[in-house]
Amino acid sequence: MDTIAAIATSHGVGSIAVIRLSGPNSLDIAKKLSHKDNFTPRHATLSSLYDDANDLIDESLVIYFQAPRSFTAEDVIEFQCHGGIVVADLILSEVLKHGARLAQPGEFSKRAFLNGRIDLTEAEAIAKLIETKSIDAAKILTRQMKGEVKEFVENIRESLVEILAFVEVNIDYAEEDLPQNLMDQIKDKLDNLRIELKKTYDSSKRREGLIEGFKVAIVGKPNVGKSSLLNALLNYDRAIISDIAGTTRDTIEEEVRIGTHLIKIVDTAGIREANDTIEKIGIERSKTAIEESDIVISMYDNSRVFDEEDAQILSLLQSYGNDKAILHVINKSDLDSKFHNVMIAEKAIKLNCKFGAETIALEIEKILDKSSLDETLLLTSKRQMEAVENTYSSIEMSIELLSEGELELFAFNLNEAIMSISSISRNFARTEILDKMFGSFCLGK
Amino acid sequence: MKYDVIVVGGGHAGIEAALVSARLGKKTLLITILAEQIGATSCNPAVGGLAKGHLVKELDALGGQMGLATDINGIQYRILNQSKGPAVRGSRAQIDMDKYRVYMKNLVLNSENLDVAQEIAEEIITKDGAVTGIITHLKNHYHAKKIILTTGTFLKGLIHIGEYKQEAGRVGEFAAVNLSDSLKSLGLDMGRLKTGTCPRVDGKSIDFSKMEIQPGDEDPMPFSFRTEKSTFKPHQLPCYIAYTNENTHNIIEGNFHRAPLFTGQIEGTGPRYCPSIEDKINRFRDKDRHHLFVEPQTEEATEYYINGLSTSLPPDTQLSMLHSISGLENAKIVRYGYAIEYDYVNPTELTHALETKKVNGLYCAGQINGTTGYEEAAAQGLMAGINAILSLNDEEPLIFRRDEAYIGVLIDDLVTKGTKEPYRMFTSRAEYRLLLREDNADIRLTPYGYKIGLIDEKTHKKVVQKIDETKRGLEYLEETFLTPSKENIAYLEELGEDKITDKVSLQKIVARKTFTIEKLEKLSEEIASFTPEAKEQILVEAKYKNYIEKQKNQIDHMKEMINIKIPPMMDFSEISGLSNEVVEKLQKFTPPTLFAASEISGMTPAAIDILHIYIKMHHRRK
Repeated sequence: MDTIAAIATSHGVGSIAVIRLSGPNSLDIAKKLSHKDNFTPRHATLSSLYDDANDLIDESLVIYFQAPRSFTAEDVIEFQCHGGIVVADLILSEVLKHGARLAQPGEFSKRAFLNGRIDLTEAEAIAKLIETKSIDAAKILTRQMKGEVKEFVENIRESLVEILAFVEVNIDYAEEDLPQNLMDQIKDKLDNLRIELKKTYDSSKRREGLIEGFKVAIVGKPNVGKSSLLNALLNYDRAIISDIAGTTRDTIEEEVRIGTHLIKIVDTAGIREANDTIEKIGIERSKTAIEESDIVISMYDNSRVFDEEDAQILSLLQSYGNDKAILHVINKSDLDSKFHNVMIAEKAIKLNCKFGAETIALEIEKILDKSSLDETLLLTSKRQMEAVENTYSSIEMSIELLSEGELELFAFNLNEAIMSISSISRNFARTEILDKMFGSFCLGK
Repeated sequence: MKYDVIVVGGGHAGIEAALVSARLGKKTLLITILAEQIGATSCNPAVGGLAKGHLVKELDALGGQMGLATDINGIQYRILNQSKGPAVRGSRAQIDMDKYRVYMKNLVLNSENLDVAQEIAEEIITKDGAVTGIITHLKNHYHAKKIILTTGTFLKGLIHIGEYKQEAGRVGEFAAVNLSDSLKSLGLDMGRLKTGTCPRVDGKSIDFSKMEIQPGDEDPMPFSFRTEKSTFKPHQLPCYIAYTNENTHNIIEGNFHRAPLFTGQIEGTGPRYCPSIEDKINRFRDKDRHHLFVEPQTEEATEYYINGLSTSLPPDTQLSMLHSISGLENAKIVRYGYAIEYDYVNPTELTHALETKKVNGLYCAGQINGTTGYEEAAAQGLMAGINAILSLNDEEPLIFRRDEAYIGVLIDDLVTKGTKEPYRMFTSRAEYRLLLREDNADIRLTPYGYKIGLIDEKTHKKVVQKIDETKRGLEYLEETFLTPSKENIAYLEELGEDKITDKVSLQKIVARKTFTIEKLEKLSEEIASFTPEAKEQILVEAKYKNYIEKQKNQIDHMKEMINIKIPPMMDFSEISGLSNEVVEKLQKFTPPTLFAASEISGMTPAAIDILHIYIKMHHRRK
């Protein structure tokens, strides 16, 4: 049984993030990261965690649950580290370097069930969970797959399968007279693939964490009700809501599922030219949030007049022309109206504390359904990154073996490369190689 | 008349099955249409080749006959892929097909516990879902608890040469017509396949001076682990290489309208990897020549088999295309090439023991299961025989996993995925190819053969010694480390090896491509004293060690999944969360284990997870 790992808390939010490991190597990995000799089962130990270059990553609480007294009935380690994306991701990638692999959706629960930790009724629920999560993942993947990622992955997969087929022909039909110069061509092709993978990996790495699902930004002048809308959409009370303008100093992100789409909603600080430095940073972030978002919800206050601030936001949004989907929302529609911009009032969705959020959610879904048809994205998940990285290193190894003439070992590594890249496109069946072999080469006696 | 086991068909599968049964002391009957033809090679006069050689070695390691028969009747021996790694080397031999056949026929007729009846099996008799016997065309009733069908191309066999059609199991032999209907009436899913063979040319009409000569290996190696190497000095004959040319292709293309393959006369599906020449020309028009191997059929070399020219074109076309080839300008055809269509049983009807799921005690092996090749057939025949006997003795069946044997890959592919064209073994079908080598077939399988009783004490002892010496040698290499000291670098230089910059184990150094057995002998006196087989094994294992370790995880995962049995009565449609497509596939293939389910194409990892959970729930409810 291998050891699996995942970030157990919602990505990027909360003051604490939890990374969970389950499997026989969990304790070993914890020891390596913490430089500690042992952990007492079920005790929280404060420990520094280090990466493989011995640099400190974070101070973290480490809890060891010894098998079978854990959720999965296997050895389980939990790292509770500081919140945010960066630290948790760093720890996770260290854990993966030490031999754990990323958990599949629902895999912790699955192990818990298989090891007798969960009863039958719960198992039904887990089966459903795996199903929905994979549909979800598949949908997200399909969405990405319609764009450049799909093309990128499919091209690489196809080239690799072709090359492997050629080599397999050389192995399985020792006596056929196949073109000799093809070996050089193969090397060139692999070199190009290697460069392409590296480029994509690096540029994705730089943008990692920025592009994760669709982004919806909520903008509007202070105290217009952005946080309340965010909460209504999330049905989750996490932004600080107050009546004092400018309380939300930071952008707040939250993941939510609307329809089949995974989206991130960003609540921005009120956009206005401020002298206050903290506020200024907030505004910068709002502009960035608009820049990065796929959809902008622009909020106005029905109980206040359309003022200079509203106009500024509007002109900022208009500068994007049709590139950005914008939803205009007039909040506090149950209060007496002082809002007099007829043009906006006509197309805007009316919202108050009792209704309107659902209409907005439906609008978002409509827009995303449409735009997911032509989305183009980079590699967006740890799993994809891992797959591309593994593909890359297998190709690198195979090139070396090709020049040494070790064909069967070359084929071994190429096969590994195909399996890696296939994990983000479609399953790899060995018959594909045979199909390619007989489709492209005239073989047999 | 009562027997323990009845084998129907005296080809390569039938011989192995019948011999196993008789050798294990069971009263056995072999029913064959023409006793003269027991052990006949209907196609090319050769045994082995890549992946096929692996199968023969495995069969031999288990106690089968084909390897020994090849060593006794061979007229040329070669190791293919000699320049490539040991995992993908394959042994191949040309055989004297007449001598081979007579040898096998006599062996069968001289075997104790084994009767031969020259009759045509027509009807399988069953009672309560299990076989009880067979009725032949002479209305003889033979009774047995186990029946093994190895009918080759005989089920409703139909031969084509141009427009000429003839019901036949092989040229000049009756087809088995009624048996096919009997199988259908038992509810077995049947299909139709096509295969073909090449023209045979009179030796004295060939001008060999215009062809390339292809001799056997200077130091020929026997197939069988049981053949004594030191005295193995066979008389070898050369083969010749010829080429088709543009003119040949024009002649063939000009006669496409008369080719049964294109006119619709042939309905069965042929193999893509062993296509007829007309198919090659049709699909690969831009290729300007095709390789032909001109192989002697017997030691007297009176007839040559034109390998690469499988065809069912009309006789005049066969002749004119031969005459267009350099060296064959005056060739006289003794036997024309022909295509044959035949019925086969969809192998997903079978368990991994090669027993039909619908009829207890009924086993199928060889071409009847949709395979092609003598070696594939023999391997299945042996396994069907072994499993029929184990079942008679109330013992667990012998089933090899995909990481244990090519035989395991072959049978697993067939019974879990089925086949729509004649199935041939390739090394590329084996995902654990580096583990499954010819050189370690005895290490992998002989202990099983010994346990069953097909391998004698002496042979087994030799293998145990090979296992033991290999293990000791590898342990030494792994536990001995070299540091980049001056002394050690000088030592490596003396061996003719590149120097090291870090501390490494000897295993890493032996794994280098440049390393040889001679160098290995210098590393340790103990290793030097080992048998040549063990030394070779140490060298090969050291080379592949890191790769083999890498695959261990995959193998462990596979083993876990094989251990999760799917209850036979499981109602897949009741499982919430599985798509209709997946449910249909599961119902069609009824996989016995979670691993088999995962091998079905179109299964998703999520579906496997869900299935796994429901299997567990099923168990707990009980």
